[in-house]
Amino acid sequence: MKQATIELIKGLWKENPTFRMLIGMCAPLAITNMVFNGIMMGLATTFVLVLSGLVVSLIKNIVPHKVRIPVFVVIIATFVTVADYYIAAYYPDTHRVLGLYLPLIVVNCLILARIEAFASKMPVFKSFMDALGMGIGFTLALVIISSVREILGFGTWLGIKAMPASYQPMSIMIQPAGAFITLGLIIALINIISRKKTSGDSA
Amino acid sequence: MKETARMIIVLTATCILSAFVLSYVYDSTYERIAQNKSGALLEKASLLFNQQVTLEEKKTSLYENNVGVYQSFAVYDNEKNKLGDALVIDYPGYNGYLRIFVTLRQDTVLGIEMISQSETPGVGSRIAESDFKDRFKNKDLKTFDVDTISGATISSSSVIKAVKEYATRYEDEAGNN
Repeated sequence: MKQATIELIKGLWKENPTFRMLIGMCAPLAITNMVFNGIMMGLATTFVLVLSGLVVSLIKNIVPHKVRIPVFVVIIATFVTVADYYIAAYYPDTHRVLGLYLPLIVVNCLILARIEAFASKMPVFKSFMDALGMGIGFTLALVIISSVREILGFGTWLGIKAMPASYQPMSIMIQPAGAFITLGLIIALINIISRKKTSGDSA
Repeated sequence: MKETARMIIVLTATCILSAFVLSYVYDSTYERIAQNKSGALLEKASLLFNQQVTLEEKKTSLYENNVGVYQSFAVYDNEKNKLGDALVIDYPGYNGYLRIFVTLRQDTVLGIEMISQSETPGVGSRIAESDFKDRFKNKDLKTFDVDTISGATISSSSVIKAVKEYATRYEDEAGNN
């Protein structure tokens, strides 16, 4: 049980997919100009991560080694399409914004990496905890990046006014360049914190 | 040989299962997705005509190479009186195609709405804000003149050109018939 908690927690900080491992960077850069989009993208990715992780972990002993990647990709694509249909049906406005990036979850290397490196070798419950942790870590990262970008670029947070009326929105923050700037600064900040932490541990 | 057979069986089984799951999900969401698409147009039309309306799709010949009148509708009120027309116009913008919804009452543009656009966020995307869209309200096509947005000249003049050209051509065609 304790082991399972470790698998869950590591995705949040130590092995955070976006800030520490820098994998699956397409979505964090492309759709994070508003917090709501970030949350939806994070949830959709978590949904796909958890379910495909579970299925792969269940069938890992049946799948021959040589065809494992095609099998994994078919499984991932199935869940991505399911998520795509449901978002199109119930959140049409979000679907319009996320558009192309939803089907692109299929090739998000975060998912294939977790499945290849973890779910295809580990028992079901551990895989579930790992996928959930990674998904939450990914969603958290998207929310942090999109919060910075939405507050500075639109002056709002989740659509609520966050800046005084006299605030002139920095439109660069909602353009692609703003994503790179925000991401770079956040990673720098996290590196400073974690370096302080490790030097504190050794001292 | 046994190994090959196993690979084929597993991969085939995965695909069949996946197709089964997807067809089930497709069936259960198809209606809602179609409804969302037509519902969005109806909502926009009702807003621009300031009352509950119904749309009836009409044939149009003004669509070439992805540009022009993509869809056209006759707009009726609840008692089946004709109120005007509604057009969905595709036109190249600055970053890609714009899809514009235009409502007409004979030679007057009642108003426009953006269905989709991919202009620069914060700059060209201002064409989707009401400040710009309101400039089209109740404009006569014969004396059509709308100001562009400074800083977003290409995006905004694309919308103006699209509305002017295709609304005029549509009305000319309708008038001749």
